[in-house]
Amino acid sequence: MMVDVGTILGLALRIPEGEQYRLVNSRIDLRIFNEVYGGIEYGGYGVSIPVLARNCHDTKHPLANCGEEVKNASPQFARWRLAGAST
Amino acid sequence: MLVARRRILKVRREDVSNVWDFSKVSGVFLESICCKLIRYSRHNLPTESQLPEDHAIPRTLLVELLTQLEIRVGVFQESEVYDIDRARCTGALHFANQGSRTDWIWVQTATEEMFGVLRGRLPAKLVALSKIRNYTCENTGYRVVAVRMLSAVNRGFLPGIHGLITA
Repeated sequence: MMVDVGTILGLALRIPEGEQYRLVNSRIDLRIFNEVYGGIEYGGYGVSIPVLARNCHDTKHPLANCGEEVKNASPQFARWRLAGAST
Repeated sequence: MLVARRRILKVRREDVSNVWDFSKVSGVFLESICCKLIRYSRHNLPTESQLPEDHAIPRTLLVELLTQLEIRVGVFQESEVYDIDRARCTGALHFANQGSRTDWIWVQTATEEMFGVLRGRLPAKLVALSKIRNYTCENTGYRVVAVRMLSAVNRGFLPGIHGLITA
């Protein structure tokens, strides 16, 4: 599908959730991070997590591969969070 | 309050100058690109600038392929503060010495009354960022983005109390 560049609102960020689902949002804030990665200890990032998650370049970051993993995601099984609609 | 979003296409690929090249590097069939461009022109351009049904003219359009789109977005709960989202679509090219990068974006596909709480917005995966010039019509240029769009199941309305929408 071709769309005009003016219709693009911003980046959509996805977090893998299990085998089939991806959470999609316009930003990854600490609350969402804690919900998804509540059990993971990952020192040194603190409140800068949303910025790092946006770029996803740091291979040590737990969200680093989320851009690649969605390649196998089947669109009909993708799910996303309501907060993404409020950008 | 609506936030003024400015979009800038950046980082041009030097190996693409026409629709044939575009097809080659994006892996999308030439005829498919022509059909989509004709449909795009029907929906977005004034009558005098629309492409004809015949694929001959779309095949000859001049194309610039770019790899980065900058979008100015308002910072959450701030009225005068903006951030820049950088969406990248590198095709087969590597990005930052890693694999290729193809970002996902939010697209305003319909009015705010559509798709329930999504308010007309759907997520899509970038396929190509391009500037297209139609020399047969006063050298008209348009900035076109090829995307693979998701659709909202249940028209975007909440199926239950878990706060998630399915697509």
